[in-house]
Amino acid sequence: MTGLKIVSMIALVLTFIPSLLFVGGTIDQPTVNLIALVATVVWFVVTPFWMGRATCHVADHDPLI
Amino acid sequence: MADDDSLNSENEATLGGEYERERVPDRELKGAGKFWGMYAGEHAAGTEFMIGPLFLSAGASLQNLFFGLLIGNLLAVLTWRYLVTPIAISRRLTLYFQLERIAGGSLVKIYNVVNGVLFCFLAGAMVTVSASAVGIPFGIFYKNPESTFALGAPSFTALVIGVGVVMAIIAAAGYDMVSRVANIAAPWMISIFAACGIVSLAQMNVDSLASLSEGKFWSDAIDFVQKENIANGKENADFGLGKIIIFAWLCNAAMHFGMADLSIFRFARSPSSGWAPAIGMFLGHYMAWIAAGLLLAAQIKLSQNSSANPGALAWGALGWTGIICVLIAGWTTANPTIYRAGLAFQGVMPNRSRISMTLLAGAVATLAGAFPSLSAKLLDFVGTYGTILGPMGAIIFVDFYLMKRFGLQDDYAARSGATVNMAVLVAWLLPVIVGLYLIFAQGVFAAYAVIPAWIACGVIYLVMSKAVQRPVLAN
Repeated sequence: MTGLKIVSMIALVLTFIPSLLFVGGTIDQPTVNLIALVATVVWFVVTPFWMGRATCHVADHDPLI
Repeated sequence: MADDDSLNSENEATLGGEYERERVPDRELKGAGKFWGMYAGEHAAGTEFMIGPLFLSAGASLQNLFFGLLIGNLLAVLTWRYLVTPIAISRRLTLYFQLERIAGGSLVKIYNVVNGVLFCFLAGAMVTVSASAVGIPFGIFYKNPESTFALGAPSFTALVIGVGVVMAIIAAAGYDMVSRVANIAAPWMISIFAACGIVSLAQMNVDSLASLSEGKFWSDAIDFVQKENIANGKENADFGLGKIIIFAWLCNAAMHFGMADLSIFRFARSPSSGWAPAIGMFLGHYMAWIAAGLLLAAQIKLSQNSSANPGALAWGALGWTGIICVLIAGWTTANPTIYRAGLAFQGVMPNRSRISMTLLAGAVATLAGAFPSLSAKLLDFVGTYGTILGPMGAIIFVDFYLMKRFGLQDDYAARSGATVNMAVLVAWLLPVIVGLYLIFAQGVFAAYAVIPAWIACGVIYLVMSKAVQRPVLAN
């Protein structure tokens, strides 16, 4: 489970870090988009295996803005 | 399996699915960490993709935005902490059960239906947002028509209907799956919002703190929008510091001034949990709003297009990831909203099934979503929402703090057996009617009406209670 969490965390970081590298001129925008997409797929494939069913959304909670 | 069961059981309590009509027992109380975790993912939603660009379109300067959102969000957090949490911790009841005890069951049903109708409009805006994302791969774009109740292009209207039908069916199937996806998506969505903002800055060649603080990229975008407005014979909006502060403070007025979040904080072990909304505010209503505004500024710079189409904006920054983010953000906001509206409608039509009422709510939301200009009025809608629902929080505030001091009965409906407490009905309707008149007939900025309506409601409730209350047996 810890391994899956680490993979998720790496994926999450990879959705964000490439945008900083783009600002710094290290990579171009198509590369940012590609890394973000791959990281997104990894996040949504791996995270359901370890994230609890519902720790943060409230069933009878009114909609938020 | 045993682990799953205990997890589910714990979550039901955490979620508020239990103790709807009783005080939360001490064994179910949660530490502050639970609340910080919950609010971290709650306020980065589909609405943020609409609201951020609307600030730019309304001419809010970047400096005012940074400072105004800071102050406004701080005031919102203080309101949660010092208005909602003390009452929640003392009584440990849901908003609806407290209102029922004060106002009577029939009046709560009316309040709930009003709530449901407003939820449908909010969900409608999110249907529009999601459709804007789905349309990108098919080359279907929406453009705001001049009139509020005018349809977009036929292809976009067909897309809205398709998206709305799918959302209504999923909402009717239940809440669990959407809740799970929303939960998983929350941290990712926050990261994507931040990435969108940073990519937008890079697209505008803002690569240093000096160019960021100079803010020329933002003022250039505002100039573009304002020149376009003048060319189209439209008036330029004025969205100064005060307006930003009031909007940021009161955009969730139904949750804090209106006390809807009593239902959450009734589980709080200590008052310090009341600070937890800070994380939602500063991620969702600070970072995400500014990031979404930057998306529009970058689009204006790159393609001289000021259309705040969330799908196109996110596509321009992060490609397919942006599209997925807009779609999930819209979907995970719209679905629970449609579900809640369905429950509200079922409350007044108990003979109808929850599924049929959810589908009805979905149909209303889809109809609302077919008018793209409605979603462009989200800044006004949010203020109107707070003006209508916020005053009920004043009823609870006065009932909790003042009724006994003035020799009056608290929980009057529960003690007298009334199904409609006339003092509450009059105290709620009068300020709301005046507020709506000021907003729609006099053009007052909707968020400005929230606090006056709240204060007026509390005062009228006290005075009316003095007039209508009769001695009842102590309960």
